[in-house]
Amino acid sequence: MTIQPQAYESLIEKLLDDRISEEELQRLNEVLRQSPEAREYYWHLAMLEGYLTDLPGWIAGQQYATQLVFSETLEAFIEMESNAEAQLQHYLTTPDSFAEDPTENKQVTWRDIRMTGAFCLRSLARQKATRGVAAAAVIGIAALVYATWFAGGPSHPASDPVAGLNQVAPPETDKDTGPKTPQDSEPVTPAPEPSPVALVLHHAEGAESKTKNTVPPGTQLAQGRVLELSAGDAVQLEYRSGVRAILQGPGAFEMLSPQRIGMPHGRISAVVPPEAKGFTVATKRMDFIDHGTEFAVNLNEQGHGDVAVLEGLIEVRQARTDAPEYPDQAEGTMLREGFGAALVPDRAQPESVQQLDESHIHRYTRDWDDVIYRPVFSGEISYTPSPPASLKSRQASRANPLLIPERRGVELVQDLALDANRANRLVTQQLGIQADPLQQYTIAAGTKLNSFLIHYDTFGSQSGQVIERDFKLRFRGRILGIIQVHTDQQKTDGLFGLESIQYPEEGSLRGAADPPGHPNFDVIWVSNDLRTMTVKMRLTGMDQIRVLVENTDP
Amino acid sequence: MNDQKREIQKLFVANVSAIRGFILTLMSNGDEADDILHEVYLVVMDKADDFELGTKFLSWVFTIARFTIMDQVKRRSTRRMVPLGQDVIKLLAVAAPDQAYSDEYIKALHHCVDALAPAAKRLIKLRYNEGMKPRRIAEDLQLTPDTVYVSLSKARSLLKKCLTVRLKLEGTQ
Repeated sequence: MTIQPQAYESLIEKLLDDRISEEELQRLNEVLRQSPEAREYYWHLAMLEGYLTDLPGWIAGQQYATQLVFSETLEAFIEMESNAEAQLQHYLTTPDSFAEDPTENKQVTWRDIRMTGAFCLRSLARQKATRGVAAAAVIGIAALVYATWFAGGPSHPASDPVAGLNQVAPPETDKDTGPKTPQDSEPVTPAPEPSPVALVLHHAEGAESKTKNTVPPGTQLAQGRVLELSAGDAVQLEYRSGVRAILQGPGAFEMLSPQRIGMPHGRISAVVPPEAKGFTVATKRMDFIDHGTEFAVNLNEQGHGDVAVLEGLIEVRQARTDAPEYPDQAEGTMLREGFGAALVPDRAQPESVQQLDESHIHRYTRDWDDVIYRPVFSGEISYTPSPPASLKSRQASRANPLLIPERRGVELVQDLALDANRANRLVTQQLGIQADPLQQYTIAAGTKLNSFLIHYDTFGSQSGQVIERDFKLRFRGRILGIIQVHTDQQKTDGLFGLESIQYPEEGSLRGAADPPGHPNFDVIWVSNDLRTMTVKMRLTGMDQIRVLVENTDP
Repeated sequence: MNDQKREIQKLFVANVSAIRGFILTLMSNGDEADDILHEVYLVVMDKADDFELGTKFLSWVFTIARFTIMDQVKRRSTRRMVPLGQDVIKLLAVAAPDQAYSDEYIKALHHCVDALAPAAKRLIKLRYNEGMKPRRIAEDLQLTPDTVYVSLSKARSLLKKCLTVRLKLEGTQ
């Protein structure tokens, strides 16, 4: 007897989604007994479930976008759903998608482009001289505009990454007549338009939004464009210079140049790649000049606010109105990583410079799509750039594990053999004992590494109970090594630890290497791209895991 | 560790996603799947010498997993198996693919997930990567459960179609 797929597909889905009725369950049992096809479909969903759970690329950096989804209305959600089907239908007919060749002119999904954008930008000069984009024929989806943003066109000098953008700009909307088409245009020579300086990646409106100019994803923001955002509004931008920024209302933001944004008031968080060094946030009293960093400025209309440097270094100078190109020499107040300061009305210098505490860090934490310089954390772990002086066991108990950035740019003078490190593998001491082929792994001499220590001391709290913490970390560089042995970690303290920290003595049980079946069995997963580690910590005392990450500094 | 155990260990690691998938579909509470996975791993290593290399590894592991789950359900009242008949679960274990899906499958899956629109992708991520049940997703996203059910079903269907096309193109099916 042949049983139609409709008879079992929805039943199996209902079962796995935990919403099957008794009657349906009986029917499903019967169908599964009788139909090999139904069992095959069950397996299809089972495998999907297993592989999707482990799929590399689920990065914590998606959280920001998740928040955007949360704030969207149901109508918008459903609309996106219908778009999804349309996009996929198109995708199914053009299987050689953008991911393989980011500069080809194909209709692609937004996600494809976001994931490959950074690559496109870096390889632009090399590729664009030989690639063509006839984008004008398919104007209308934000994704394509973004593709063109990076891809350029053959008739434009290779040195100018935005030449020709006006050809593919979204159609201007006339309030009375709707979108203008080429046929509507008058045959006059168009006046030169201001250069676009930034592209909108996301836009979320707050519940009480009064934003005057909506800026859907894909909108190019020309020089001089001012965005006024209400409370709750947020816009994520990518600048021509490569800077990524999130603007949050209430505030006003003026696109002064690819390297300069005016902000009379509002909140901005920016990740500035090395090639965009000098990117400046200009406020009424002060200019905040990047020296290679991630930083955030928050300023209200009265002039009160604060600034926080999450990575690198920034300089704060008295504001200038002549849009200067700042020289390399720093002249103003320098604020370095892990420090913040207050901004007060009518003062041209930051006040009360102080180290950021965790609440500051969390306040300014932004999870980015694919531009992550510092670890982006989710779950229960605290980023701790200023660690306690002692990490010996039986110190004050803490609510969460600490992620401590240790050394930066350590160059190995000889090969370094590690416990275990394989992509997407179950990494434990049991799977990585000495001489096991799975764990014969060496980092070559000459490699530059950044080291991080995950430290969790639970002594003194809930004595005897197994404490569980799960979290994910995404690093910008590849994870090249994980040191989690119980008793030999101190051998690596000299090379990768900080001199200012007292680590546990030799012989201390500080690793995360209890065997499977043990109540304290820890699991560490590393994604296939070697950038995300998922940790399930189980402990009753203290665990320390040292992570060695490829140093990507230029 | 002898060579046999080392081989079994390698096979287990190589197939761990498939094994987890099997466990996930048999457990009513996906949160406990990793615990069961560890227990299955222990049993597999304990019985490694019983396995004949070259025969169907996954079927053997799934049988172990099935009994491990049943044992766990007996031991802990909080653990529940999916409410299928034991004979059906046995049939499912026998019908399991005899090896983990290929790298091409994972690559194609990656591709197809990326091809989903952001909202659909978010749902898939919440459902599978975050392990959230549809009702919880509906609460978090302030949608009706039916919207989530329908959207998830549609997203799965799109993934299935996309996978079929991708894998055919790559000649791996």
